[in-house]
Amino acid sequence: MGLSVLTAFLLPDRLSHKAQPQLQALFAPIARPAGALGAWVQRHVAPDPIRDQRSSDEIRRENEELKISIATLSQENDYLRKLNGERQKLGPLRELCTPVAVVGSDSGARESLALAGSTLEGVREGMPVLYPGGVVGRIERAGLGGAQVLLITDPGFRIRARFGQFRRKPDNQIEFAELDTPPVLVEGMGRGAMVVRSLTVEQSKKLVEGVWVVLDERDWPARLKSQPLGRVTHIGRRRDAPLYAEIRVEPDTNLTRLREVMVMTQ
Amino acid sequence: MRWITYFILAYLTLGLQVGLAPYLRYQGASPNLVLLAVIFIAINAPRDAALLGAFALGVLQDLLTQQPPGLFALSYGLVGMFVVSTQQIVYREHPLTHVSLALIGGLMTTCVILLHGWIHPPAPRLMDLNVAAARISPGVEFTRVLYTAVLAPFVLGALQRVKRAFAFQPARRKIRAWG
Repeated sequence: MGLSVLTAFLLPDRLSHKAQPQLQALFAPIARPAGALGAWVQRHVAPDPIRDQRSSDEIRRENEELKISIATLSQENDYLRKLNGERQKLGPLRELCTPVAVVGSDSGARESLALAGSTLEGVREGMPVLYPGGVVGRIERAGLGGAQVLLITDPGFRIRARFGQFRRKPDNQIEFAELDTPPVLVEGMGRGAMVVRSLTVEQSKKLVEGVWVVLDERDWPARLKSQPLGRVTHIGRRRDAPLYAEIRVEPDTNLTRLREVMVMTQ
Repeated sequence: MRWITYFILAYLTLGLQVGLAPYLRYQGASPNLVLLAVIFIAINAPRDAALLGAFALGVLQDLLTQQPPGLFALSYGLVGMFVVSTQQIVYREHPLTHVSLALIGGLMTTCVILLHGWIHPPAPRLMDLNVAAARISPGVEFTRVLYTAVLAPFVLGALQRVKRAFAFQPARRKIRAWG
């Protein structure tokens, strides 16, 4: 009991997590079938409401993938032009990632995913984790028996981002147009959502619900710039600072229900 | 107590907790199935085995969460101590016992988690951006307590039916009368 008080309250998280064995994959034989059963029941009993009004799931998925690949490719192009001639060395984003099965979600009060992927597959701490809809989070712990991803919706997750919209150009191509707002700090707030609290109410008037929030973090790989984090779902005022806006952002998918994620291992 | 059965229960409970939690969520809170297993062990097993079993379940749950290791071990150690102390005064099979123990156990766990979140917030305050520290929502945690308590009679009721497999009480020796 004394040791648990020491590791939980007195030692810094970094130190105590170092000594923690990673055994996430050990629970996969129970957690994966249980999750599949839960997903099946949920699909048949209470399916998630479809926010997008288009009828075909296939079209929606294809559209999302196109948006993301366009954002990625356009940013990649700029990056590669700057690097002058480095283009041939880099492939599409997918080729830089390793698909990893999700064992399950956090067993406590935080928002994270337990992964079956281990250090043997090249998964390391700090690696970005993606899914077809954008960013999932970052690897917080990795070991021989599994890994843990801190989700972008966890209260401990903070990342720089900016607002923008995907528009159709006259030549029928889709482009990402940045809105005239300063870069913001996006924070996880739990319950599958994020919040932006660093914009004033005046600045937030340029935003509407449905606007995209995309990654703009200097510490992350440049190729991930403009990867979607989520969409604005509500704009209000902060209770503790009424001159500032509280902007709620939600990913398009419930991240805790993902069955597979892509870890950017390269 | 038969430890092999205990480990099977621990493995199943933790597997179900991480696998089913996203699908059982209500208002952001998923039930704490491991806590129910802790209460089941602590209410039936002899004192030392109960305390060790509760603590070990906490250690195992700590492996599968983003929270610092030791938080659930400490919480369940405390819950185990409380439940063991009530063994003689509660009716173990009664649903009301299950609900009340799950409520108290859940509140104890929530207090430890919130206290930890208050001392060490998941993300600290950023003065330059006028951003307050991010904290774990007490509302979600209390919803989790209630949700777990609602499930307690069903889960603990089912576990009580198979408690023979755990051999909580050592087999009585037969005394032969000679003469």
